[in-house]
Amino acid sequence: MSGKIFWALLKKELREQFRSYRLLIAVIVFLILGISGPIITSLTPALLSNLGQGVTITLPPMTATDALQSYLKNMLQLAPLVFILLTMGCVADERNRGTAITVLTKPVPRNHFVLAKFCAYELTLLLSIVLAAAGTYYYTDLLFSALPFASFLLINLALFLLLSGSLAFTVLASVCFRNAIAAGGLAFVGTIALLLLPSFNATIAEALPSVLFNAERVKQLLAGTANAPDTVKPLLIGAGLVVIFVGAACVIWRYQEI
Amino acid sequence: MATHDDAAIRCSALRKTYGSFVALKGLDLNVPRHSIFGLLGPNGAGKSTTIKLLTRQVGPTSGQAWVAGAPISGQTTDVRSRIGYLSEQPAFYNWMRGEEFLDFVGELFKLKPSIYRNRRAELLELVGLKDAGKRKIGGYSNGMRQRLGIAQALMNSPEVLFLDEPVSALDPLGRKEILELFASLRGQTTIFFSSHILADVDRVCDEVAVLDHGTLLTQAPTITLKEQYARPVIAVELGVDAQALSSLAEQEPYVQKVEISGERANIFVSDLEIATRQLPTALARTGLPLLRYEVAIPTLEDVFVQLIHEQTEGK
Repeated sequence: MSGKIFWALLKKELREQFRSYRLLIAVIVFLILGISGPIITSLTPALLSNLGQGVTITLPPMTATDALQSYLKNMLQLAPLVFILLTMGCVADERNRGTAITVLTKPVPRNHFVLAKFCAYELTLLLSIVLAAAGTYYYTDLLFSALPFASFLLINLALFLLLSGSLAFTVLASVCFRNAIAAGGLAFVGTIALLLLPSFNATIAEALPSVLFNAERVKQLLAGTANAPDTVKPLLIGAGLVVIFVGAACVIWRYQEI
Repeated sequence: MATHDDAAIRCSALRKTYGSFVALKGLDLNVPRHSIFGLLGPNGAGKSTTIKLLTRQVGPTSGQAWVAGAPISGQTTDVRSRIGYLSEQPAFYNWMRGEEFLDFVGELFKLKPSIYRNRRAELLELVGLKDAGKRKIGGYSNGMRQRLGIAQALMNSPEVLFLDEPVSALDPLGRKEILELFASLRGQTTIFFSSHILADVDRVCDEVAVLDHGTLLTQAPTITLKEQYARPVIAVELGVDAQALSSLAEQEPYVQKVEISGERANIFVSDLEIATRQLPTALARTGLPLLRYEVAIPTLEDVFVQLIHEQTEGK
C-alpha cells in the first residue's frame, strides 16, 4: 500500500465532502436526529394529552431508556437513507464524468481509489454518529437521567457498524453501476434487506448488529445483564460484513474497464 | 523506423476485443524515442483503444506493449509513473482551483511538496494559465481546461506523453499555440498523439501511423509517406476561367488529368521533372493570363485519403 498516494486521495475526498457541503449536511442531519430523540420522548405525554377532547390517554412515565429507543429508531430509519444519497455517486459519478480516468492514468493503485472514498465517508459517518450520540446523551441526561456510558457506547458502536455496512454496500453498488441512481437503488434495496432480514429469520437476527437494538436487549445492555458472547458476535459479524463489501468493491473495481 | 532498443513505445501483436467486436487486430508498432508521433485514422479505427491500452485504462486481450521500457501489464513496474496522459475531453474536479489540482496530481506522482509546487508554477506559466491558477476549474473555458490538461500531463516530466485528440476542442489560435507548445517539447519527451485533424499532425509530427478498422496500414516518417503516396500536382491560377486548360490532358503526354474550379486548376502529371520543364511553355502557348503557378506540396491529407481509399478498394 502506497501511503502517500492513499493520503493524497483521502485528503481530496475530505476536501470534496467539505466543499460540496456533504460533510455539513451529514453532521447537521445526524445532530438533529440525535437531539430530537430525547426531546420528542420528553414532549410525547404533553403532545398526546392535547390530542383530542374527551380522549384520555394514559402513558407510563417516559424514561431514559425510551429516549434511547427513540434515538435508535430515528437513526435506523433516516441515517442509512442520508448516507445512501450522499455516497451513491462516489465512484459512478467519477466514471461518468471521466475524472476516474484522469486519476487512474497516474500511478494510483485501483483499490486506493475505492478505499479512500470509503474511508473518507466512514470518517464522516463516525463524526456524525459521535455528534448525534453526544446530543442524545446530553439531552437524555438533562430531561431524564444519565444513561450508563459504557452501554451507550456499545450500542452506538453497533449502530456505527450497521451504518458502515450500509455505507460499504453503497460504495460496492457505486462501483458496479455507471449510473448513480441505479447504484442508489441497489444500495437502498441492500440496506432494507440488511435491516429487515432479522425479522424473518431468528439465526440471522441474532447474528446482525441490529439485534442489539431490540427493546429487550437494550434494557439488558443498560442494566449490564447482557450476555457478552451474544453482544460481541453481532459486532464482529457487522465488522466482517463491512470488510466483505469493501473487499468486493475493490476486487470488482480492479477488473473493470473505466 | 525505431529499433526495439530506441523505441519509446513498442507494441507486439497487441489485440483488443470487446465481445465479438475486434477493436485492434494485432498491432505491431515502434515509436522512436523523443519523436512527435501521430496516430491517424478515421472514426472507429482503433486510435483511442490503442491509447487506452498503452495508458493502462484497459487491458489487452492478447499481445504485449512496452512504454518507456516498461511492459503495460507489468506488476512490478508501473508504466503510469513514466507517462503523461490527456484525454480528448479532460475531466477535472470543478470544485478545485487550477493550482490545487496540479498539486493533487503532483501528490499522486509522489513528488515532494517543494518539487510539485515549483513544477506547478512552471507549468501554469508554460500553458498560459498563470493568472487563472487560483480560480476554480468549474469557471474555466474549454480552451483553459485543455491547457490545464496539458499541464497535469506534464507534471511528472513524462518520458512519453499521450494525447488523445488534444486540440480538437480549441479555436484556431489556441490550436496553433498548443501545437507550438508540443513542438517546443521535441527532443525532451516522446509525444504520441491521435488526431483526425490532419493539418495539425502534418504541422508537428515527425512520424505517423495510419490505422483503419483496427489494422495498421502504414507507419513511416511524415516526409517519406508524402513522397511515397502524394501524386505530383501543379496548381495554377488564371485571370480568366480555367476551362481552357481542360484540353491539356490530350495535348501534353505527361498530363494525366486536369481538375478545374473557376479560375483555378490542378494539373496532375505523371512525371514532375518533365512537367516542370515543359508545362510553363505549354501554358504560355495558351496565351491565358497566368497569376499563379506552383508545384503543389503534398499534404498528409492526400496520403491519408489515398491509404484509406486503397484499403477500401482492397476489401
